[in-house]
Amino acid sequence: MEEQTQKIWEEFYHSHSRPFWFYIYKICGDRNMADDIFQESFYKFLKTKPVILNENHMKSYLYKIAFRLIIDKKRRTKVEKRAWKKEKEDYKRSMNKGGHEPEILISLDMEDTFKLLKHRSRILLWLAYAEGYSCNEIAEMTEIKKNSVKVQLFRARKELADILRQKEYERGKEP
Amino acid sequence: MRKKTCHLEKEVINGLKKEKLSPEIKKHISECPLCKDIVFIHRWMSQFKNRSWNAEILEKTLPDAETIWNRAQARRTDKELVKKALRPLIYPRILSYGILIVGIVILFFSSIKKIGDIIDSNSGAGPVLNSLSKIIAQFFPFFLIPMVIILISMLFCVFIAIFERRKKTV
Repeated sequence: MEEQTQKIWEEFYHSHSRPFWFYIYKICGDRNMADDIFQESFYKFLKTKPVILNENHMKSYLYKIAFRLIIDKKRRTKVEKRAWKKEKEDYKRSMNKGGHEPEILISLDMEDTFKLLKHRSRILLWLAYAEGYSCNEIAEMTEIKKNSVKVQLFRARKELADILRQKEYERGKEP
Repeated sequence: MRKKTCHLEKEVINGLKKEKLSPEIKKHISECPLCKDIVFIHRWMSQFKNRSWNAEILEKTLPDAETIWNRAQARRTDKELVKKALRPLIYPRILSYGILIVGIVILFFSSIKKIGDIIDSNSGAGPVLNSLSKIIAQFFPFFLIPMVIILISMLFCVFIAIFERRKKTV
């Protein structure tokens, strides 16, 4: 039984660990914090939930744990700006391997823009548009009511759209 | 108030996911500011994800499944061991709390005479308390005894708390 559970777990981990780390990293903007939350989420997941649910439930449960940890950690640490400066260098280095200078600049600009949003907005936008989850699924993952998800998603979308339009406008004004 | 949802939102999102938007949906998008935002943000987010995905995630080394599994198991066993180690302390703790409560009750009853004096004897409660104190005083003549009991049980509680903490940190 234990072996079978471990096998299911390993399969689940192989298929979801990378996107999951990426999601945490994009929301936190800090590799070390992402590593911590990543591991802590899996420990909590294994502690409380035996691997008996179907894959979708397991996934949404894992994201729910991560959501709580992200919000909790972010409440305690206010060092994101400082961390992002350091991260930027690492990011540039990793991007340099495969891209050209203008491409890197665009990517960095996108990162900066995304970081202007609140964590909650980032989470909702990422889950909805980068991962493609429906409002029901997001509500399950974040323990926010479905209607509230819709409203918050609308606000986050509007906020990001406004920022992007403002940036476009400023770029248009540049000589 | 501006509307926060559109009845065709689902269709628009599904179309975007499949990268196939029907002419009707396209027409709707051009007219609906809400769906226009959805398309705009959806495209931006997809681009944002795709741009950083390859570069960042491929070079990232994550712990393997077995390590995570083993660590989670080790954590669970650690917690179980702490629980097991602290189990013998449950009874002394209950005992010390019991003694503490008994001590406080005894202290209360031994000084009931004074309470009775304080309360006006005309109110009716005073004489009752006074007669009660006379009975109790025969059994507990000394004020010191309950105080000593309380002190000992309090020390015992403190000792257990320190011991528990030490065990947890170990």
